[in-house]
Amino acid sequence: MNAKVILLIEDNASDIALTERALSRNNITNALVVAQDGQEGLDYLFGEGAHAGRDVGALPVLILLDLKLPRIDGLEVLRRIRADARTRRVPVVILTSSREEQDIAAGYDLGVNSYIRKPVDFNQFSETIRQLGLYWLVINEAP
Amino acid sequence: MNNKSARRWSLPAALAWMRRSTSTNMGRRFTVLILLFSSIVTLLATALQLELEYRRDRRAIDTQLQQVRTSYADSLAASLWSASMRDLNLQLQGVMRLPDLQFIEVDNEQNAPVASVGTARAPDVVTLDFPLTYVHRERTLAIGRVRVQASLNGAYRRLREKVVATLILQTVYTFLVSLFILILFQLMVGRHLKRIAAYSDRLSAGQFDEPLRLERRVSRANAHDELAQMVAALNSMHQRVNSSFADLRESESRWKFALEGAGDGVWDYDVPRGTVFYSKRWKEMLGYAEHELADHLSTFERLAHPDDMRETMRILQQNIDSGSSSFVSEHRMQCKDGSWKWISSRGMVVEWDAQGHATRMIGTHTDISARRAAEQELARLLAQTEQAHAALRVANDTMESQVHERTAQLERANQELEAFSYSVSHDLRSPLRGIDGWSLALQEDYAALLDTQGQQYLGRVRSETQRMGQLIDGMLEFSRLGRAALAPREFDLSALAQTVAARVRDANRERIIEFHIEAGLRGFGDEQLLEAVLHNLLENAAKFTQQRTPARIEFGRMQTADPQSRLPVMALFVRDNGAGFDMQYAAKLFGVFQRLHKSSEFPGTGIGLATVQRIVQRHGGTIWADAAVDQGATFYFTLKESP
Repeated sequence: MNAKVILLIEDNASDIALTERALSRNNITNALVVAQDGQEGLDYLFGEGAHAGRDVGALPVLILLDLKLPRIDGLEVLRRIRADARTRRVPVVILTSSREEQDIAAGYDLGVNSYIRKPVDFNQFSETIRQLGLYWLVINEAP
Repeated sequence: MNNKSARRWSLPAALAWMRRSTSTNMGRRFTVLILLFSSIVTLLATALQLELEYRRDRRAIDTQLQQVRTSYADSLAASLWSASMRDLNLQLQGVMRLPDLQFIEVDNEQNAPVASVGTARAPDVVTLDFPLTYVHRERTLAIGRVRVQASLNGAYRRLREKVVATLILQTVYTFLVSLFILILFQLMVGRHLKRIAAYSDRLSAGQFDEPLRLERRVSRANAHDELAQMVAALNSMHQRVNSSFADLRESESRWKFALEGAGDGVWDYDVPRGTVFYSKRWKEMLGYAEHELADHLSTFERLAHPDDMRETMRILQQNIDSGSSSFVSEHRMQCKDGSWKWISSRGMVVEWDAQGHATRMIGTHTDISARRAAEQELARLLAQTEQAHAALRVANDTMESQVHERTAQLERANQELEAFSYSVSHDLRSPLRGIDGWSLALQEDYAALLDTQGQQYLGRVRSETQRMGQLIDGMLEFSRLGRAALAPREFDLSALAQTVAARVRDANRERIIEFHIEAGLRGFGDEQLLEAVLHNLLENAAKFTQQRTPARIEFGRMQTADPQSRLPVMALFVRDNGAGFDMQYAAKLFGVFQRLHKSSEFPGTGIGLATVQRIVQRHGGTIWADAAVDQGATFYFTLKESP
């Protein structure tokens, strides 16, 4: 297993499983950490709450962020990630069902690296995940 | 007759007549004055005449006495010298025969009487003494004196006789002359004066008829005499008065007409006396006949409304005191039937006494009840209007707040709708993705456990899922395009169509599609949205021409008739040679989820044309179609011209 963690912040269990399936289908072997709401995602990143004591220096290589989340929504999570010096440079990809223009605009305004709408067709979804992995984990030079 | 004449000539009657005459009739006074004057003249003349007569008589007596001296002195002296007493007496008796002589006496030188005839009587006598001289031896010797006395009685008697005769004569003469003058005066002046007086009376009584003409023959002698001048003056005055009276009457009638025509009453207030003349109309206004109201200020005070009285009298008094030119006051007055009328009283002081106090005021009364009623009605209506306004304002405010509320509700609803769209796009698509993903997982991981039919079923599940995903996407697109803000500008429509056509051709590479796109078309609107329109229409055309080879799709601009107004209009069009459709279903063409073809033949969501229509309508245009089954279809649409 690859030591570089991918953080998936997503509340839908089916989507989590499908994402895991798509990752494995495309031979992306990075460890997948799943946070099921915005607060949990932030706790993981900043070593708080349930993740207290975690080495916050070990940043995920990629954050896949859903927008519609319990407790703290995706855009707020993004804002806090970008507001903190430690996490500012972590690539964040919004992966969501919404194609609302305001969401897209707000996402880019807050410094998201990509905005991807999850297709209904799993084959297309799988293909998207493959390309994401290829780009962010292989092609792209991490900071 | 006798009685009458007796009375006429009785003294008191005469005196009375004289008094009457002197006081009234000018002719008679004239007569009396003539008589008086004539009588005085007569008396004076008579007195003068008597005086003259008396003097003449005296002179005659004096002359007689002197004659006695001249005639008898020498003979008497001789008789006395010779002392012939008989001669002396004879001589004396001869002297006494002379008229008026009553006594003669001869004295000697010792003044002793020698001889005398007649008797000496004291009063009314003329006496003459003269000496008797005798010339003896060349010497004149005074030998005695003679005294002769003549009586004036004879002269007096004659005078008396003369007085009576003269008086009677003079009186008759005077009377006759007076009578003549009187008659002459009457004829020449008096009767004319009378006539003039009568005429003047008529004139002053206001009878302005014909000019005055005297009853006399006009001759050269009297054509310009005083009477003629007087008549001329009177007639000219009459004419002037007549004309000015006519003017006055005209002006008065005009004035009356103006006032009465306007229905105004007139009052004329004599301030010191407290009397007021009220015109007929003034009284009529209050329902009274002319004789029913006294011409006094108390009438006004009695009829004026007590509440208004004080103020009105104050205004009146102020006007009297201050001498300001005019005043206006409005007050109520009671009519005969007990009702009240609103009266506008206007007046002004027109006469002042020497001290500057107002003595006369005149003015009018105007019935302003109708105006007052109208004013009250107006005020009432204004109040009502004001109320209505207030109500309206309240209603407006309410409405405004309701509008605000509704707007807020609408905004909330819109927000909810957006939230709903968001939800739909997010929440509904997630399970679909799950269904599709897990169906695929089942196909991939458990393919060995499913027979061919099971595999097919799973395939159906997946395709239906994906179709639902498309429906949701279409619905979201429809909602998004309907809500998106327009960013209109001018752009190259032909170029846009070429781009879209290329994209459609790319999506249908296996087919032969001929695009005929008119060059040089300019469009005005939101380019992105219009791109969606063109994309939908061209894609549609491509879809429904899939059985044609080659498929022919045309885009251009042409003049056609607006289906509703039937007016000629320049419309953009997309024409194809595809399957077309039955025009009886044309009404369903642009409805959401409405489809005219079986999914198996021409798959689709039924949202594309609805979206197109919505965008065209948002651009102020209309869209319609013309088609026949298997004859191809033409979609026409218009856009609002650039501003």
